[in-house]
Amino acid sequence: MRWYLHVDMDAFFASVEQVLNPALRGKPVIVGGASGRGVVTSASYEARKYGVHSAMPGFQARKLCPNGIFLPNRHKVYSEFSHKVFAILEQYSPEVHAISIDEGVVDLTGTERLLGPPLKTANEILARLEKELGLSASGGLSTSRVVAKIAATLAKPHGLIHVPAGSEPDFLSPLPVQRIPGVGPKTYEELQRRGIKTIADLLKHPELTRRYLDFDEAQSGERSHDHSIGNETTLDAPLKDRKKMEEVLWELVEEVGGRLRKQELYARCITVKIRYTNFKTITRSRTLATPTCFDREIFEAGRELLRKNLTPGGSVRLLGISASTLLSSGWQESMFDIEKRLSWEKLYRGIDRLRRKYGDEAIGVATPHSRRQ
Amino acid sequence: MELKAKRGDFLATLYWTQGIVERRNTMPILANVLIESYKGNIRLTATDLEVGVRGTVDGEVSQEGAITANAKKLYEIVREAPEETLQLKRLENDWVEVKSGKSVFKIVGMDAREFPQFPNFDKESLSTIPANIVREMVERTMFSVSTDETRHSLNGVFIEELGSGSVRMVATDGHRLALMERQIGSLGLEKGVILPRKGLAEVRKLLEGSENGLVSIGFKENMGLIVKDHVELFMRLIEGEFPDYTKVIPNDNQHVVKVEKDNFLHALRRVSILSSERYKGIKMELNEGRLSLSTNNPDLGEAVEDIDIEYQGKSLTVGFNARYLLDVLGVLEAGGEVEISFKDALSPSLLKKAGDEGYLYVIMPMRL
Amino acid sequence: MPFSDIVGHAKQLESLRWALEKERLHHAYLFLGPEGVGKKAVARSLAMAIQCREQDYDFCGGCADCVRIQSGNHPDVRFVGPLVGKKEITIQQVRELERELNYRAFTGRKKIVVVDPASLMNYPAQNAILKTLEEPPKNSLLILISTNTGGLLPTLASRCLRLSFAPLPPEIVANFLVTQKKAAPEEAEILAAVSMGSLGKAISQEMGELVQKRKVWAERIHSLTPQDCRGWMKLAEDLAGEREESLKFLEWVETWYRDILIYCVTGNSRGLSNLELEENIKQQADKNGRERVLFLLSQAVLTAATIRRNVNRRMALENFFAHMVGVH
Repeated sequence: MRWYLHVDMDAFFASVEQVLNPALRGKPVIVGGASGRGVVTSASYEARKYGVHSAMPGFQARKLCPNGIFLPNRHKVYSEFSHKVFAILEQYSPEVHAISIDEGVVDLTGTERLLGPPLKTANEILARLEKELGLSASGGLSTSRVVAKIAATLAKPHGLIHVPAGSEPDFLSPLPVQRIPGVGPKTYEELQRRGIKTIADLLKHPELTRRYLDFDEAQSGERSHDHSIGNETTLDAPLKDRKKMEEVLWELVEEVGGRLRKQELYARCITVKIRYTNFKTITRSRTLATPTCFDREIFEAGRELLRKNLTPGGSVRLLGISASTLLSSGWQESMFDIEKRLSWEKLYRGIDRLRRKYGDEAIGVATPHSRRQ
Repeated sequence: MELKAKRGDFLATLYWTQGIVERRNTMPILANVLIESYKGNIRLTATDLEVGVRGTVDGEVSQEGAITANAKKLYEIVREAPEETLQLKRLENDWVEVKSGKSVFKIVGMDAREFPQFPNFDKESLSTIPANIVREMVERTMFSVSTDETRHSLNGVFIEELGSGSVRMVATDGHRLALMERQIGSLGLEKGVILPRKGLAEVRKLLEGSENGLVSIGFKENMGLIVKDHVELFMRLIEGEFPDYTKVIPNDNQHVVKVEKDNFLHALRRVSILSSERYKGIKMELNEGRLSLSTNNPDLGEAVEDIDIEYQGKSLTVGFNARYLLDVLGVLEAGGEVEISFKDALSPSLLKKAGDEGYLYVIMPMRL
Repeated sequence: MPFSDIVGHAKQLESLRWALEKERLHHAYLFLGPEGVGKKAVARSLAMAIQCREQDYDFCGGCADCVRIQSGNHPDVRFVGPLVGKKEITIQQVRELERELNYRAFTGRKKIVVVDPASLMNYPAQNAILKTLEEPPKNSLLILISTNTGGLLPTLASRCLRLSFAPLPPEIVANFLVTQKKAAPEEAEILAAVSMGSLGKAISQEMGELVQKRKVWAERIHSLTPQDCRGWMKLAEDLAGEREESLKFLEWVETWYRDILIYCVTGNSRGLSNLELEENIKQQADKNGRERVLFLLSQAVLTAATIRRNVNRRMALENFFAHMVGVH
């Protein structure tokens, strides 16, 4: 019996700002969209009462919520908190898959003996996130990742939904098909045309169900035996400029590199995910000659992939990077970069130590481009 | 063009062309051998554009000229020719007539002007070197050439002159490096060049079995030439810069081990029986007086072998790809000792044949 | 002798010559333009101009290098296309070409590779060639030839310097036919018109046949009436026999409607492809309005597309004729 806990932080960026500045608590905090052109990346639940939500253009948010407190995106800060969130999650299972900066899946399969019933563990995790970090999260606990995700979204805010084994159809049936991750406007239209509006309708068509609702854990089975460590983020405003995308990439890479080193793993394969504003999504991978866990090397691979695969003039809304084919030993070192690698090993060991002690803000590594303020 | 030659001579020279022509099919002319007869000389040339071979044939030239004909077919015809003497003639329509005794063949030919032109090397610009030294240098470095087609400048052996008659050949694939230096005199190389693996494979064939004798070597801007007896071998040089290999040769490896080469080789062979493509590493443990070799392959099993050595230094454990060690031990002559020096488990190690300062082999460890 | 011998494309040739002389030749070019207008000829000429040692920045056409390039036997000038019997250019071919470019030139000054047509490179092949376009080996020149950027990865096209080749003006094509191919002037004029600026097409046998056929076709569609459905059904049956035939017919129909449109707008016969059928075109233009002609044109395109998808040809053509006579 597999158990997955999907954890989804509530209004993450806004919540982090409220934690850092208690004066903001209880107020309508809106992150992003401060300048005329941006979009909202996160809105506190107080702001949501005014109708503000993420991905909304800033000017619209201002109209809806004139006395909202607009804050700029502080990605580094959110990243640091994300680390802390995952640090807690990782205490409960070695199989933690980061889906984005504020969403992750904890594989609780087989933890019953050590930790007790999964529901108890799920509760404990969410409670700890609140107690230790001051952040509210929602969770979905079920036997498959997709159901867990749907449950987590439904549980928001500050809730936990447990879908016991066997009750998945009952839970899902009344829900509209748009609740299924991956069913976007186009798919919805197509399904509607066939008369499929709720998941109950979908379940009547086995091939379609198989296609859109992936209960089959074969996919994640693969992942757990050769899992990956990744991170992705939706951009505040869609980007066309590659240099700016590289800046975002760097931040994602720092997070991934840190986690790799923490688990003492090296990755042989780096994958970049690009989603354009028309929702076309591509993933491109590169296998490295020598496995790495060093931010610099991961970044170089990611940057190469971006350069080669970005459609010129394309507008990007989401970027992701993931490290896979993880090894802790058994590869051949290369003579031409051994010196470099040894010095990076020292460098990153030092950085990680300082980060653990003082937090991410304390140390910055020289990055290829100037950092956003 | 009209000429007469002995079947045996013709066949012997044609033989060298056979291994070269079969490779390409992109340009029809490459399936042909170029037959030239000028000033009483008969020359046969074949190429695949990476490597070219040219040989001379003793014979009589009644009319000067040149033509090309299908190399394979010509070889078969000459091989089956009934008499000892052959007569070749170029016909009006660029066909080639081969007569021997009562057999007459007419095969489709192509204008000689279509055939790629090799540069002319003056005899004076060539340097003469003992064949066995060249063969040794090639054999001891060629195996380390990279087979990764994306790293073009590593797909060949780098050759450079160090001044005072010393010539060095270096090959590496990023994981191991073989370097051989010998005093063979000047080759006229101002700057080092990269010799392609294919070309060197042909050189090996050419020099096979010839312990004595001399070869002539020369280089022109884009090509290298090596001549042995009547056969000239051209090879195109590789474009690009060879990396600075001197940087990766360690010079401060403190832990030195001397071991009998044959013992070591056999022990390695035995232990690597249980290594596989997936688990190709072997562990080398250095302890006082003892060198332990071991493999641990979850698919196949474990093997351990100890060798007695004179060693008083620090204990050290390093992993290596067994193949890289077996490769080098395989090209060293039997007997004698090898000297291996280490620094630590992540740094390059150095292997030398005791008594031969002109050869060294660097190998990078595996992380085990 | 040289560059000036090429028919048309004066601007492109001049810019290439200039780049060659100033040693500012790019390492990768993409030649775009309709089939048969001379892209390969220009590529070949550029190759000769580079390798020829008799002339500086031009070519003589008679030396060993020039001769070899013209017959496709120069070791440093490679033409890559789909192998005999194959429909695609594969990644193997691209790897071989890369290997080739990483050797020093055989005898030439540069190593030149011409990929024609580049759009036939399959996806892995295009991906593989990206690397060469990015990090070109020293002394190499890559020329990709294609009719349009449609079959090419955007990341590939963006790494080349584009040179567009327009269809040749009919006068130039006609002139060439008369001077080089000894065609009669009227015939040359018609052939030039039918080939729509493509020299390659103009001299092909197909064009000659096409000129004959289209007279017949024009008459037959002229004779179709809404009442005589047997008439258009028979025509559909005749044309449907062979796939190629029906596609050629529809291709011609497109030029037919295009001509009628031109006449509708300009009122004269300049730029018409079906020159010799001017009278007929005039009539059609008078009878139908622009909207109708545009509609029929789009129907022709649609019909051709359905036939390519292997739908029942006879029915597709019947349907099209029904539209044509106004029954639908």
